[in-house]
Amino acid sequence: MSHNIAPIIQIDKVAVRIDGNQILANINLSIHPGELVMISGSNGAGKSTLIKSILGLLPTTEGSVFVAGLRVGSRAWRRVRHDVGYVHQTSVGVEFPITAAEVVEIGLAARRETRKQKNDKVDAAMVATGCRHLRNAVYARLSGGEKQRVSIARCLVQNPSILLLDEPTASLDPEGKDEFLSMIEHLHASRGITVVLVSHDAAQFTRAGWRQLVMSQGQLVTDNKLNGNKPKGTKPNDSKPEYLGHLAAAR
Amino acid sequence: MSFTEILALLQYPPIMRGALVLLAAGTFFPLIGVFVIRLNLITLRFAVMHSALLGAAIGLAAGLSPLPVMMGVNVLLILGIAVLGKKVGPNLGHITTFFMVLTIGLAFAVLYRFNVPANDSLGLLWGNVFALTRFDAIVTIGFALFIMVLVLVLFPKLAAVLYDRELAFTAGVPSGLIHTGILFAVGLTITLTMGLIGALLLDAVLILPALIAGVTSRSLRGLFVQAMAFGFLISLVGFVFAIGIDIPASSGVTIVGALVLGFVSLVSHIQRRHA
Repeated sequence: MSHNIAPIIQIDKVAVRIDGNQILANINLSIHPGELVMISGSNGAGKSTLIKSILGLLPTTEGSVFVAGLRVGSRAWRRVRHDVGYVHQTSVGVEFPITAAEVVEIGLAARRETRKQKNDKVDAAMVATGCRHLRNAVYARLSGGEKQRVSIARCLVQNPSILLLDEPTASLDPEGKDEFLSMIEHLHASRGITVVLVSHDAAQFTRAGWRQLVMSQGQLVTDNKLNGNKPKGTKPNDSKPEYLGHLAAAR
Repeated sequence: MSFTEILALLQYPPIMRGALVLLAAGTFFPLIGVFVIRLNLITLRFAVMHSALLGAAIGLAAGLSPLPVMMGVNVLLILGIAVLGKKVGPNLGHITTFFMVLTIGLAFAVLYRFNVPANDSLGLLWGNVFALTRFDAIVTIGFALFIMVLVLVLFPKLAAVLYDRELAFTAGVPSGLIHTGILFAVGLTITLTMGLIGALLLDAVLILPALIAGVTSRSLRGLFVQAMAFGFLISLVGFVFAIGIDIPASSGVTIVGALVLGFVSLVSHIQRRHA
């Protein structure tokens, strides 16, 4: 992929400290439009914190994050922050009454549109992710895979340029994970959406076409472009995180 | 007492005013109750009540009208909770509990130190729906209608914040502002109406219908609509029941609400077991 065009996500020397603990340290990263990026690492490596910094959900202690050239937190960014779709692990409890269609409509909460316009967009997004038949189903009673399809539909109604997915396959079986990633790759190919996916699951690294970033102790330690089952690229430093050991064992 | 006799009682203005206020509060206050339940703000309800008592005590001690002081103290309380909430995250339980305990401690200190008769300040919190003036009734009904309009206009944003504050934020909703607004709406509802209709009745119309709708509804829209429907039903039946057996309206509504909650919970439990 040519990187002559400006990055859609630019992270410059970002550090995040929470309650005195260094969660991220000196992160530098450029992600270009249309890339498929997988960020991996063990629990506590800082993956979710990095995603939340990109979303503006967590303020950075040092450095800056830019999305589509706009500094995260700036007034201009606030107006277009819905350009980034976000899926996280947390799901509502079974006692929370909300239908799948209502969850998708959350993506349009800040838009001033007619009921018909909203319904049409919700329907189109649910068709695109293959969950239209779940429209009136209670969200909390859906399976893990169905919930993730609904969550992606919620992002799609925002018509995003970027999808940030935080452990979206954590609750899926291997078949469900494969199906989910195929759907994401299809959406990426058909809509040109930049995808950043966070996972601790080593098996996902066998998919071709993904750029692989590995984090350890709040730092990016590996940046590879995957081609089939063989990762290419170099490690930015000599440290070998525990995670890579698991990866090697898995292969 | 027969149904005809109950209808005859409505010819008396205080009874009619009380019935209208009860039905308006019963129908629209459950909308606020939905937020109290879903955002886990039960302790906020107690903190607001205690700080209202503190406000009343300060007002009486200073020789001022208690209601504005109660409102002022509660505004400070909500601001404090909102500001501290930003520091410690979305779970407000610890903060509201802290204020709940602090304000009641301060209230009793003020009552003792300035020789304010406790009954005078406590009396401001135990309103009676049949003792309302015409102005009280207009204020309560107007405020109830205002809540409904607010929920209707802001529904998509409120729904997003109820579902998940982070996702609401990423969808472009000013979720922090909306959440603080919800805290103020809850605080204002409790402060304004507790002194008019009483703490027990306020709880009955605020909390019980929202709890019942949480059991029976399958959608977020359904949750709000059913909370209003149950609120109306409970208020109406509770009012008639209270007059019929000559007990306070607040007791009647609370008993009917609790019975309905028990019934729907039991039915829901049986349905889940047989599903």
